[in-house]
Amino acid sequence: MEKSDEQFDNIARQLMNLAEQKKSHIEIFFIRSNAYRLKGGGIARISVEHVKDAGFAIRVLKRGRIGTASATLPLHHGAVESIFTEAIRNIEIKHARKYELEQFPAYGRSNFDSDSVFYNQDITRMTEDDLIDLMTQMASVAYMVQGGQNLLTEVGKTIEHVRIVNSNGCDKSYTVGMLGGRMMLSVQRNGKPSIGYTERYTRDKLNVQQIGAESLLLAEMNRQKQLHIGDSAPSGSIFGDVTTIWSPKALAEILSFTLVPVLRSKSFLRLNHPFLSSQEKPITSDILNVYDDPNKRYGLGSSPFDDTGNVIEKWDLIKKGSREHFLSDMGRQSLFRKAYFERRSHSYRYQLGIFPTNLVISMEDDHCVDNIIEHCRIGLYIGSVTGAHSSNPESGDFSVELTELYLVKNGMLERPVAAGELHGNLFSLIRNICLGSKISSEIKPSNAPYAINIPEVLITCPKEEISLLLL
Amino acid sequence: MHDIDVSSIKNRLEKNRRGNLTYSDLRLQEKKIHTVTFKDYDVHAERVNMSGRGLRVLHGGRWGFFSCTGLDYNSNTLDNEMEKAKKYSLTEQLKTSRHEYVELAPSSQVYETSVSFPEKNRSIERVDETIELGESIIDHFYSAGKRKLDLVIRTFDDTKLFLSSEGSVIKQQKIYHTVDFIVTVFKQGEEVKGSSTTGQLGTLSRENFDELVMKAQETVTNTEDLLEARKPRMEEKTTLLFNPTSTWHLFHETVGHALEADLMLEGPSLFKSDIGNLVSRYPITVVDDPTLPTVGSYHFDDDGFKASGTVLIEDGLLVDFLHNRETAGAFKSRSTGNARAQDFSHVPLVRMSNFYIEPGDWSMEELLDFNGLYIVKCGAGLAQPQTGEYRIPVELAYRVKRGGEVVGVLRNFNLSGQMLDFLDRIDAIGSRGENNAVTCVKEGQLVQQGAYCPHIRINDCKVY
Repeated sequence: MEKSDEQFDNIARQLMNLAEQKKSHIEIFFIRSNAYRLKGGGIARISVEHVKDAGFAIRVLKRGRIGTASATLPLHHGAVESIFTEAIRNIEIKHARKYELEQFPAYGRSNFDSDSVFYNQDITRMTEDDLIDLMTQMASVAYMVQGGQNLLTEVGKTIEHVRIVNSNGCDKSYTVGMLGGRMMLSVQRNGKPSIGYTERYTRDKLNVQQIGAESLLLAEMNRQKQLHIGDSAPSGSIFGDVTTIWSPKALAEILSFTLVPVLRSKSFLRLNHPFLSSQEKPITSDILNVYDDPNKRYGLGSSPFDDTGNVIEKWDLIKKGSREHFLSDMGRQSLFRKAYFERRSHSYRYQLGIFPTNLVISMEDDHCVDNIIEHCRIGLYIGSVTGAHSSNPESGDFSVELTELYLVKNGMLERPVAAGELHGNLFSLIRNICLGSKISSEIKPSNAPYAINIPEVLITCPKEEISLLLL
Repeated sequence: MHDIDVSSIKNRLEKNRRGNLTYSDLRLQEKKIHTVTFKDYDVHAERVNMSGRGLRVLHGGRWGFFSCTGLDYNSNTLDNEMEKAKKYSLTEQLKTSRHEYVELAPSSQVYETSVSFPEKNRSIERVDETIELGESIIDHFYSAGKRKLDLVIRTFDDTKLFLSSEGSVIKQQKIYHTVDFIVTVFKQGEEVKGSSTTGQLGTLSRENFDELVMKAQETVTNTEDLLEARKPRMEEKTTLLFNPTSTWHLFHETVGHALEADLMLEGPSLFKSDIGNLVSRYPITVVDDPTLPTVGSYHFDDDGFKASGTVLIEDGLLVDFLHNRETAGAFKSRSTGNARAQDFSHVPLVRMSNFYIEPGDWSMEELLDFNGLYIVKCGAGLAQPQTGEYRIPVELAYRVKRGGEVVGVLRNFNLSGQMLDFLDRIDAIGSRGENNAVTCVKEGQLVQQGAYCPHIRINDCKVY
C-alpha cells in the first residue's frame, strides 16, 4: 500500500465522521499518480522528472445543495476540518444551485486494480532505462536524413489509481497506465529549417518509430510548402461545391468543440436547436454512427465507472444519422482531468461535468474505403487546424486556420498549400459526410478529458455552406 | 523544509565538484496554492501543496537535470540523483545544436541568506475571508439573465531553497495573489465572454474590495462593448493607441523576448549585434526589474544570482540583453539575474521578471487627440526574434476621432509588422503607467511577471 493510500484512509474516516456530525452526506474522489517524464533537446541534454502526486476532491450534500472542496496530499495538521468546513460553507452561498438528490447513490464495492482491459499491464513494469531507450530510438529518427536535427523529444509513463467512496457505502477503485511521446524535429535545407511535431498517447505499446516518422514527414512537407510560397493558390471558386478530406486529428479537434457540447444534454440546447428534432429525422449524414464506449480495450478514456462510482456501458448517440440519446442519458459524470503531460498536482477540476469517454465515430460499412484520397477528383486534404476553441457550440459555427493543408487532384496529393482559413458549420459538415476510411485513429483532442476514435472522412459541402480562403 | 540537513547537502555539493563536474545546484521548493473558484454561482475551494527538488549538474560542459517530488532528502539521495543527472547528460542521441560546451559566467558573490516578501505577510490559510470577499464581488455584479461574473482567486505561498556547489545557500519565501475575472454577457440569445487578471504581492483582504470591483467593472464594460463590436471590413494602415495592458502585450512579444539572450544563442536574432545602436528614434526607456514589488519579483534568480534592474533600452539606444549565467558566459558578459524556472521540476530559462516602460509626458487628452484605433485588449501574439516580424491578435478596440470621440467598436482582427519599424514610429508615450499581473509561457514553462506600462501611440500600423 502506498503512503498516500494510508493517508487517504485516515482522511476519509475523518471526513465521514464530520459529515455524520453535520447530518450531511459526503462523496470523496481520490487520485494517486506516479509518473516518469523524460525530456531531451531543451537546455539540458536530458531532464528526468519523477512525479508522485496524490489528492482528493469532496462533495458534501445537505438539504439538496452541494458544496465542494479539494486538496493535494500530504495535508497539514488540522487541514481536514478546514477543508470540510469550506465545503459546507459553500452550500450556504446565496445563489447556489439546488439538486434533486437526498443522498449519494450506493454504487457498491469493487476493485479493478489489475484489470487488463483498461491498459497494457507491461506499462507498470517499464523502468527508467526502458523509457530512455524509447526516447533515444525516437530521437535517432532525426539523424536518418541529411540536415535533420532533433529539437525536442519527450516520453512519459503515468500510472494512475482512482478510488471513490461515499457515505452510502460506495468504495470502488481502479488503476490505469498510460504512455505518451512527443517529438519536434527540424529538417534544414539551404540554411532554412522546417519543423515537424507529433504527439501520441496510448494505453498500449508506444510506437516511437511512428512518432519520429510522422514528425519527419511533417517537417519535409513544411519544407516543400516553403518552396511553393508565392505560387498562385487555387481559389475557392474553382471547386464549386467544396470537397475536403479531413485527417482524424483535424476533424477530432473541430468535433471536440462543436459536436461534443451538443451531445451532452438536452438542457444545454435552445428550444429550436437541430439536435432536439425528433429522433426519426436524420440530423447528420445517414451513413454516420456515433457512440460512446467506456469499456473499449486500452481506450484512452476507458474506465470501469465514472467519477461518482456509477457503472455505465456503451451508449449509442447517433445511429444512421438519427439522434438516439444524449450523453446525459447515460447518467455518467466526470471530473475534468488535465492533459497527461501537465503537472498533476491539481489535475482535476471540482465540477463534475458530462463528458464522453471513448467517442467512436464510424461510417456504415458500405461507405468505408481503403484509400479515401483516391475518391477525390479535386479538393483539399486538411491535416491539422488551429483555432477550434473559438467555435460556437450553440450554433455550430467555427472558424479555423488550416495549418497543414494539401491540394488533392485526381486522387493524389499534389502539393502542400501554404495556409488557409475555413469558416463553416458543424451541422453542415456532418450532414455532408460521404465516405470514411476503413482504419480509425484514436485522438486525444487538446484540452479534453476523453478520446475520439475517428477515421479520415471525405465531406462535400455546397459552396453556400462553407467559406474557404487559401493563402 | 525544516527537516532538510542543509549544511550536509551543501558540503556534499561542494565535495562533488571535481573532474568533469564543474558545477551543480539544487533547488528545493514548497509551494502552497489556495484557489477559490466562483463559477456559475457555485464555489469551490482547493488547496494544493507542491514540493520537490531539481538538481542541475554541469558535467563535461553539458547540463544534466533530475527532479523529483517530495522533500524526503539527504546527502545520500543527492549522490544517487547526481549520478543519474551526470549519466544522462552524456546521452549522445539527444544532442542538439543547443548543446555546445557551456561555460558559466562567474557568480558575483556567494550568498548565505534568507528573505521573505512582502515583509508584512499574513498566512494564506484564511480561505474563509477570500470566500467572503469573492461572494461580495459576485453579488455586486449579479444581474440575472443579463450577465454573469465568475472569479478565480489564487493565493500563493512559495518557498525556495537554493544550494550550489559554490557554497550559496539562499532561502526565499514569497506570498502573492492573482484574481481572474471571467464575465459572460447575454443579449437576445447571443453570449459573449471577456476576461482579465490582476495580482499583487501579499494576500487579499476586505481592503482590496474597491480596487477589485473597479477591475471587474472595467472587464464588464469591455465585454458588454464586445456585443456591439464588429470585425474591420478591410485591411488598413492607421495610428494605434495602446492601453497599458496592450502595450505590455506588444512590447513583451516583440522587444521583450527578442532581448532574451538564450533565444539569441539558438540562431540569428534581430538585436544580436546592436548593443549601443539606436533602435528607436523616440527616446523610449525599457527596463526589466525583479526588485519592483509585483507578482514577478524575486531577490535571487534560479542561478542564485542577486537580482537588480537591467536597463534594456535607454532613450532609444539598445543597452543590454537579459542573461543568465550560461548566456552571459557565451556572450562574455555578466548575468543580469534573469534565470527563472516555473518550479523545481523545470530547468531555468532566461525570463523577464517585471517589464517596465518609463512613462512619458503626454496626458490622456493629448493621447486621444488622433484618428485611428484605441486598442484595449490583445490576445497572445507571435513574434520571430530572428526577423522581427510579429502578429498580435486584437480582441477589442475603439475607432477614435480627433478629440477623443468614439465612433465605432471593433474586435477580432490582427496587427502585424516588423518590430524595428514600430519602434521608430512611436509618436507619444503617456504620463501614467499601470501595474498589471501577467503570465508568460516559454518552452512550456509558465511564470508570473509584472508589467508597468503607460499608454503608447504608434503611427502607420497595419491592421487586418
